[in-house]
Amino acid sequence: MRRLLLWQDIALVLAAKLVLLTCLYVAFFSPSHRPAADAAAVSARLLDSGHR
Amino acid sequence: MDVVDLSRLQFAVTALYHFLFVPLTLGLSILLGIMETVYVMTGRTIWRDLTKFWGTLFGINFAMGVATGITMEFQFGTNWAYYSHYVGDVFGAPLAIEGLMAFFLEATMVGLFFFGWNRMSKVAHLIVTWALAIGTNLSALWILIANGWMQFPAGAYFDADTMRMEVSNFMDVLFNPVAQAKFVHTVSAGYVVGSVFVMAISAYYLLNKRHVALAKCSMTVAASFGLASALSVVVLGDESGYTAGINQKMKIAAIEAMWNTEPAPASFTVFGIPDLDTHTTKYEVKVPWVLGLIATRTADQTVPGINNLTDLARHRIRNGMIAYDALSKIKRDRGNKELRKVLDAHVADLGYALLLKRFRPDVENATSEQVDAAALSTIPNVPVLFWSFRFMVGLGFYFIALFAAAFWLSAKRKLDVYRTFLKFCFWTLPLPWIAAELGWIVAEYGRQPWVIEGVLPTALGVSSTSAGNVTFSLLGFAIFYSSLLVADIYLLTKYIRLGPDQTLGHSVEPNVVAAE
Repeated sequence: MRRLLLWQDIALVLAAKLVLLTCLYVAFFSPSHRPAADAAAVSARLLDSGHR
Repeated sequence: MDVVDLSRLQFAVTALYHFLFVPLTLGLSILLGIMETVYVMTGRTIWRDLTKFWGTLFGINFAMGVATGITMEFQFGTNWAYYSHYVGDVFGAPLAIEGLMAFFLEATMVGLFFFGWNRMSKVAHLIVTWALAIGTNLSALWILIANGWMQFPAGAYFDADTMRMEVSNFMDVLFNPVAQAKFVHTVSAGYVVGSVFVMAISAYYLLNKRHVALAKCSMTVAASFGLASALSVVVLGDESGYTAGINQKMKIAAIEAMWNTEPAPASFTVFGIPDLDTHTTKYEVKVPWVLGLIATRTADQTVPGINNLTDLARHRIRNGMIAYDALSKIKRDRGNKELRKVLDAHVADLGYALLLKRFRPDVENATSEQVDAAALSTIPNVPVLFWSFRFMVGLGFYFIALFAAAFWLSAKRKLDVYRTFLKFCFWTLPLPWIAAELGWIVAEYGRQPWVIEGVLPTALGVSSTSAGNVTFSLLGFAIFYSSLLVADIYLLTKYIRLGPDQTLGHSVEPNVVAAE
């Protein structure tokens, strides 16, 4: 079997890493997963009588 | 389990896993510096080989420590978003400095350490090794400054407009006495872990009569450095406990299972079975005066008991309700200066009013029973703290005795004579990790119900996320971290079994002096 060149190895590893990072982003860090936590949200949590 | 408990469990699991790797990295980094310094000073190649061999084990552990540490910082955003907003202005600064200053330093130096042996002069490589050790320890410093602030939130104030804690004096955050005491205590504990590791593996070689010269040299360094470190751990642990008494009197009372304030100086409970329901400790064995002298360093000051501190918490909750009411009104009438004056007068107790959120959403209308319940919630899990602390301290004194014996045998050139002693050294291997983990349990479990002592209850810091999400990521972490732990132990065992000759690819000779 033909041995891959170094730049091909690096490209392959980088591509695999990119795919894994994208999966992680989609699964955990995309905007739909981000809880809104700003001054208004903190006020609502701490001061609104509807929150526990 | 709800989101709060799951998020706490996730952080506890990841932090405890992470701290399996960190103390060994801290301890080995300094030991590598000492060994290489001896090599540069004497020119004897055995010390270079020692540095390279223990450096290989250090490298395996270092990689695992980095992998487990990075994910923890993400949790502040994913699981603790409200915490991050509320205290991020203060808490984020030391974490950022840690990344920019300490982590960059150690990450750069670790590469030079491994690949620079034949590319740099001896002195230049020695500087790299010490820079790596300093970077590793600086990393711990900034993390513990952040953690120390969670125990004693100095140098910050609450801003009613931004609804967050903001830095008022960074020097107070930096030179926080709790953080400083915690730092020196924690790194000393790391040095004990590193020393026990080197001593245990060296004892294994001596028991099997392999690599005797290398094992004796390693054990000599580990015994002397370990003895100094173990003594430091106890002395600095006392300092850490004393500083905790400034702001965390409930934690100290819970560690001692001291339910009621005793006349000064208080006695120390060596043994007892604390009962959370009756607020008593059964079968107590007490030593007069000791706790009072240790905790207050005087003979005439009292150590407040749990019940007395609960009364104080009740008072602070009522005080905090005034601040809470003023803050709620400020949100509707931002320009009202009178309300701001009321808030400023009672803001130190605002966090105590937030404890009521667990019992009713409209805090300002809390009943006496709910105030009582919130006050009782300030008591951490007394039996867990009581026993964790005693096991940790007991192990600390055991390490002093073990290192002292090793030091004495080393001075008498009899390290390989007593096989029972060598077996003791080998089977001690897991104990410093247990002591270190118990230390974190005392520090962090003892802070409950606060995430920031007296400022923010833990339950209010979690993100608005679902229990399913946290359970899923918790399982992921458990599987991923367990795999890393298995890989770490497998690789360490593999290279320890191979020994220095095969790891380094040449025979380690005891009396060869390197050519200049």
